[in-house]
Amino acid sequence: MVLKQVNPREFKWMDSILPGVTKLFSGKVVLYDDESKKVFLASKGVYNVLSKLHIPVEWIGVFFAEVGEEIKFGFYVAEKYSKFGKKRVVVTKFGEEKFLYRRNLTKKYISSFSNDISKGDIVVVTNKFNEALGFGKAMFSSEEGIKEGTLVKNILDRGFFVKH
Amino acid sequence: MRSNYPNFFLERLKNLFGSNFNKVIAAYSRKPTKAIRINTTKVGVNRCLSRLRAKGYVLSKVPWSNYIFFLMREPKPISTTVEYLMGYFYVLDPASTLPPIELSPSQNDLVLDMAASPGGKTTHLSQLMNNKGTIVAVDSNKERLDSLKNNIERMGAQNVIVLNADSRNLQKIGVQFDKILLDAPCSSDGTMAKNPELRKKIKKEDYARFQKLQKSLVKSAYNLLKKGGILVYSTCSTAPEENEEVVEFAVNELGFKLLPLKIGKYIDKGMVSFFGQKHSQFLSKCGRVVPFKYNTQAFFLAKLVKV
Repeated sequence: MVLKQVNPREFKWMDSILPGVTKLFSGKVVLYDDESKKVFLASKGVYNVLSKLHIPVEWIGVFFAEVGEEIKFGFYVAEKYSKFGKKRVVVTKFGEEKFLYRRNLTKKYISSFSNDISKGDIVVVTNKFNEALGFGKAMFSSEEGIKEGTLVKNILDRGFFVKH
Repeated sequence: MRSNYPNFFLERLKNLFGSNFNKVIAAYSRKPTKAIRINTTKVGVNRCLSRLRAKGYVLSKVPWSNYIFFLMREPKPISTTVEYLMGYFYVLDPASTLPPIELSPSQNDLVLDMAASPGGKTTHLSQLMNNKGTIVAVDSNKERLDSLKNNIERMGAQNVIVLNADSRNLQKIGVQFDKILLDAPCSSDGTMAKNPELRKKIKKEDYARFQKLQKSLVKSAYNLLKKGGILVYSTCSTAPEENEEVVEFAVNELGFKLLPLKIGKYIDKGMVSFFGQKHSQFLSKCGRVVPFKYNTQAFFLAKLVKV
């Protein structure tokens, strides 16, 4: 890892993808690994220890996102962002099962959604308990409502942890 | 049943367990009971239990903790449930929950986990620290680091730094620790119920080979601890060579002091006499889990302080 501490303002463009997501930087040190292009968040205590270590590290604190041509947010972001109530799609019980098996979502798997979704948005997919199952890409807008076909493309789901 | 084991191993078990020998062999032939450790940083114990019970899982509390439960009935693999995927619990052998509980880290501690993969104990330490303080989790096996990192992420541990290093070579790491967990690489002869292939693989010379490694790891732990710092040493081996003899080395050669275990009432005492030789009386402060007591793997642990 080639780590550098970054000013949270440098990642303000993340807010254009998930509005307000950089609020999760609050009270944390934001670290960027130039090799893996990964962003980690560390508490001040963890960062203090990290700065004293003389050995390369593999992981620090919380994995936030991977920044490439596209940005891939991690499960921490999904979990915290689901509490914001924004850009959210809620799935049925059957939809939960499908989504966790890497499937896309059609109308019958969606029970509700927030009113701020535009086509192409990254959305947090949750179950009825507001537990974040992962991220999807919306193929619909809240204004138009949901019709037939694929409505949310699966980007990341917690079924990952069965496979890994 | 006994023909599945090498003769030298059966002789060892007879010597070590005496009248309990048959119980040990019987336990090695049964499927061991799994446990779940509920991740109280993410979910309440009652909420998690009620969701799992509604799905047909039968759970029963272990005697030494109010958030760890024996898994008595598993209608389908519990690691496929949404509760598992959400990181609400970790599936593990019940005995392996003992070392973090005994180490009992506080929210301000700097803790080292010297052999951390796949992360059951690291994430347990993180839970006990309520995601505060810092844990440095080390593993020398690069391939095993993925499972460690995945479990850290699944369980939502936020206070962990992971290093790929040999814990024998951390002298220049740059920090000293308040507490160290060393769940040492070992012959694993206490896990034969779960890993029956070990019955054919185990060799006499394994014990001396692992002891050499374990002593060097304990020595490294001594150098990495602050004065007054605590080391919890554990193995999943029945062998005194990997257990009491290593602790005897830590006390007599390195200057550690052995402390009584707070979970001692739930488990057996360490051996002070084995293979016809008397050893230090203080070794009775160590703890042993015999596999037939809770239908778990065999386990050993000791708590030491750097004076």
